[in-house]
Amino acid sequence: MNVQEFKESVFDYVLGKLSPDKTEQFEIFLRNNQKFQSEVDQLKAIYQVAVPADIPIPTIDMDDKFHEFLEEEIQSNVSRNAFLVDFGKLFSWDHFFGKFSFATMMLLIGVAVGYFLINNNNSIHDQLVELQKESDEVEEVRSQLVMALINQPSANKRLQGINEVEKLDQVTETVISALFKTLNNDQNTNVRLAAVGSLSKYTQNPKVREGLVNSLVQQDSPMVQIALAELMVALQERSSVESMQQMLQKPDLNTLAKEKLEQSINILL
Amino acid sequence: MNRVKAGELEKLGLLYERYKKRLFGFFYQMNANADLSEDLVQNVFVRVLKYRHSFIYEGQFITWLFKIARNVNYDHFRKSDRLQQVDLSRAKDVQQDAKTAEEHITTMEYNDLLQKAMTQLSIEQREVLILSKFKELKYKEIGEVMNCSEANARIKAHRALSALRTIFLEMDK
Repeated sequence: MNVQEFKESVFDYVLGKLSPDKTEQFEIFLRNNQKFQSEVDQLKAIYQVAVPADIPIPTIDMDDKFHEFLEEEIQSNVSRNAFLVDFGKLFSWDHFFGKFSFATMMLLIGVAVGYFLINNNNSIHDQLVELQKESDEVEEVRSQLVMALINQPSANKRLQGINEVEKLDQVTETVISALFKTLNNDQNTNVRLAAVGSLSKYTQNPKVREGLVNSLVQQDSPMVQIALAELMVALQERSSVESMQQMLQKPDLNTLAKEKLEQSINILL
Repeated sequence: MNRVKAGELEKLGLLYERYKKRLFGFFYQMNANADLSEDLVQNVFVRVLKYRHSFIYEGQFITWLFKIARNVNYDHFRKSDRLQQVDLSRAKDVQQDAKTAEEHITTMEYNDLLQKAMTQLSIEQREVLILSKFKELKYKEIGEVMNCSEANARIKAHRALSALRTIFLEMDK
């Protein structure tokens, strides 16, 4: 070790951070160069006194506090682990609570599935309601179309209107009234015949049957008279006999119509 | 420490017995208050237990331990900034055995002066000189405790010792 290396190692030597080999080399150099000894001794003394290795020993209180703290932590940890184990056991099958929790779980699953299905059903129901609403709207539009067409001047339009009635799922009183108005008042025989055909589909309604019976005496067209007579027979509507007998009194009654009326009366009677 | 981390908390008692004196020495030399030092040692082990799951230190346990000790010390003095005002002259004279009365008086004066010189150092300078006293801590480990490189730790230690000598010689004039 030379002087330069010595000077670089003084602090490390005093601080005790030189390796054993270098420490030995340092001390050999120091023995051979006494002029540096006082400098090293002074620095060494300063450090050793300023940071003494021998310091007061901590009291027994520190140990007691630590062991008390550690014991509490260990107990707390044991309690925590025991709780977790016990909690796990509660859900084991052997335990009553395990069975109970299983049953509860199944019940909850059932409720969840039911809730899902109900929600789904509600959803379907909502969709049906929505469809019904849309359907009702279509019906309403169609009814308005029927009413508009029936009141048209053109016979073709009025026929088209009556044909539109057949597309309706349910006819309103307004449409029925419009059909009877057409049957009793329309100038075109084909339109009136179409009205008979259309009304014949709603004969489960007593008002329709009554209206058809009353309409008999108002008809001048043999074809309409014959169509109504056949319908009365088909419906076995005996209340129409009187109306048909009144028609037979008419002097201008068509021969074919007269025969049909008489035939119908005979069947109904 | 790995066994403590694995849940064998009682093993912390072994670590405590192994390191309590060195930790106490660190705190005592930093603040010259025995009661406070005992409390701070306790705080170190409370934190060791609290943060045991985060212990992934691959180096020496003592390095991790003194990092915690350093933080505990900082946290304690942070609010009032009392660390700089610590009166180290209250530290006990430990080298007074087998000395004559005259030598004793001289040694007392000498020690008091050095303790006062220590108070003139910065906290970091005191830390590095105290940590250097532990044989287990080389510059590499001191650097880890103080969050700096090995070379930087060496430079800090040299400068601290040099500063202590300069202050002491100036006071001794």
